[in-house]
This record gives sequence, structure tokens and C-alpha cells, in this order.
Amino acid sequence: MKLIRIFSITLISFIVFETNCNAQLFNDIQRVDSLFKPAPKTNFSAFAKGSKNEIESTFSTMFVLYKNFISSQDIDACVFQPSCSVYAIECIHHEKSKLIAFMKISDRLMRCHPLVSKGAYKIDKITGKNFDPIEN
Amino acid sequence: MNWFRKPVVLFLVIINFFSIQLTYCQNLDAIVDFSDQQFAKGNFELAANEYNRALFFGYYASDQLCLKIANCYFNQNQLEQSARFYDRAYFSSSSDSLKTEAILGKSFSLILDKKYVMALSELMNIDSAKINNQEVKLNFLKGIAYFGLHEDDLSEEAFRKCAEGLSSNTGTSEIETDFNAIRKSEKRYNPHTAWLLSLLVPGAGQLYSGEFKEAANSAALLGGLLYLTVSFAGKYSVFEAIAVVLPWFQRYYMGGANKAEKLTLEKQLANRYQSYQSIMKRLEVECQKNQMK
Repeated sequence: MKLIRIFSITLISFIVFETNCNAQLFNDIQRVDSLFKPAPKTNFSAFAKGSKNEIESTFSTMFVLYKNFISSQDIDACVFQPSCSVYAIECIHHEKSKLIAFMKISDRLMRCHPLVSKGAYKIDKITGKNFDPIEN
Repeated sequence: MNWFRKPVVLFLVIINFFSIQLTYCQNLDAIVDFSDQQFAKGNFELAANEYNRALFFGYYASDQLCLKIANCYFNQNQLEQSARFYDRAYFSSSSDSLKTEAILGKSFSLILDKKYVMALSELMNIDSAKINNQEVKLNFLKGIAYFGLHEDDLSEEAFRKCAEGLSSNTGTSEIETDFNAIRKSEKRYNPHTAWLLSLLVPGAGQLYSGEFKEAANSAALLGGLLYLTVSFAGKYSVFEAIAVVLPWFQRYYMGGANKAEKLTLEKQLANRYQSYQSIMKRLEVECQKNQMK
């Protein structure tokens, strides 16, 4: 009788433990399911959608064409993050005065060269480039 | 100090002394109980704070507490913190099962943080003779870590052992099929071949990776620049053509080759991810089957 009791307790505890382990593994699998998911491609057309006037829509279209057909075949030469073209389109969208936007873009283009001094900008952790958003 | 000698006062002092001790012990237990409840409800932040409080005030089972705190951080996706507490649990415990659980937890945190080498070095510390029913999880984590390091043979072996642990023979052969698909894809999409092809004929590398639009784009861009060089040379001089247009041509020529290499690598990684998802799906099915039994 005692032997049966010990056996049944062992069996039940084994089943419970096994089920628990499997349930845990099931959760673990779901957690790592998207671990090696490739990064999604940047949708540059999104920049063209928020245009409020003709200037913005013209530059947005130029930006999308440049990004899709010219920049995509170019070497990775820009030393900044975001790149000069993204910086330019963000300036045009966010600056109220387009004159200031063009001045900021010109300034950025003049600063973008391989001799930029180390330590002048924060380093973007993902790209390893100089971090220079329009807020700077 | 005559009043202190009175038996009633003395009695009250003694009772108070012990009641303070008792209240103190009860409080820590209550805190841990409350934290356990919060953890079960999914309030991991609150649970972690309360466990930390109990740890600070010297709760007796610090190793278990560290493990619980680590689990809280793990569920909040604070991976560095969770790894730190799993480590603390490992070093403050003398129980083998708790040590194993701590290593497995730390390795899982490191894997989610994409630190595969560190995760593997932790997993190597586990003595497989002592881990009883956690061998499936050990092999599962090893499989993922090796997969992240592109060590496909070792990863396949670990995933197969994991499927075997879930008592499935069909799972192991299907895992082999998935890994064969990865190997086939890596042979088919070789980034170096794409790069070389693009250097030989601009756009050929993109064609090799199956990106026809990109191939046409690269060929058109470089064709245009070549036409510009020739027309410049005819209109002005060869020197001017070399000085003005050739740097642009070189830039987009190399850019095109790099792009072809990148596209092929992306293709390879996308196929790799597909196979990985298929492996995970198979393991998930095996788990569900096992639970139904």
C-alpha cells in the first residue's frame, strides 16, 4: 500500500513537473521567435506624406527619387546620422522659415567631410557615425 | 531606577523586545508573499521593488530572492539587470538546481541581448549530469546561441537534442531539413560572388540576388555616367572627362558592387530567418504535443 502511494506521488509530481517545463519552454520559444528578424527597410515615401505646401512636396518628391534611385547605389560616404539628405528633408518639414532651413542644410553639407574632428559630436551607437539631428 | 525593578515593567520590556523581533520577521515574509502575488499577477516592477526591499533588510533566503528579482527584470526586458541578479543568485547559492536555473536565466538574458559568445560561455559551466529535466532548455539555448554565431552544425545538433528531449523523432528529421535549406541558401546567395559580378558587369550582382529593379537602376546610372564621360572627352578633353566625371563613376561603380553584396546578404539572412522560424514552429508543436500527452 505504502509502495503504491509513493509510486503514485512520484508519477504525479513527474507529470506536473514535465508539463510545467514544457509550458515554460513554450513561453521561451515565443520570446525568441523574432530574435533573428531582419531589420525592416526604411520607407522613404513616408517623408513625402506630411508635406503642407508646394515647396515641401517638391522637395519630398526629389528626396524620395534621390533616395530610391541614386543614393541606393552610392557608397556610404556621409559621416553623420541622420544622413545629410534625411537632415535636409527634416529641416524643410520642421523649420517654419524655409530660408533658415536652407541655411541649416548648407551648414550641414559644409560640415560633412571625412576630416570632421573626433569628439565634436556624440556617436550614434547603432551606426557608429556622428549623431547630429536637426535639434542640435 | 526603582521603577525598572518592578516585575510588571520588566515583563512589559521583555514582551516588547520579543514582539519587535517577531514583527520584523513577519514583515519580511509578508513582503515576499506580497511580491510573489504581484509577480503572479504580472506586476513585475512592483514585485522587483518589494523583493529588493526584502533583500536590503536581510531576508534569509537571499539566493532565491535574487533569482526572483532577476526573473522580474527578465520579464520587464531589463536584460542587463536580470543578468546581474542571476549572477548574484548563482554566487550566493549552494544548491545545484538553483545554480543551474541562475545560469540558464543569465544565458537567456544574454541571448536576448544578442551576446551569444557570453551566453555560450555561461552554458558551458553547466554540468549536464546534474541538470535533470532542464536538459531540453539547455540544448534549446545552446541551439539559439550557436545559430546567432552562424555555427550551423553545432546549432543543428543542439536543436536536434532539444527535439529528442521532447521525445520526438519526426522533429529531428524536420530540423535537419530546415538546416539543409539554410546551407542551400548560403551557397545560392554568396555576397562575395555578388560583389565580384557587380564589379565585372554593373548590375549583374543585383541580378544574381534576384533584385531586377536594383540591377536596372545600377546599370542605367553607370551607363549614364559612362556616356557623360565619353561625351565630355569628345566635347572638351580626355583629361577633363577624367577629372570631372570619373570620380562620380568610380563612386557609383563601387557603390553598386557594395549594394549587390548587401542585397545578397539580406536575402541570405531573410532565408535564414525563415528557417529559424520554421524550427521554432516545430519545437512549439512538439511542446504542445507533449503537453497534451
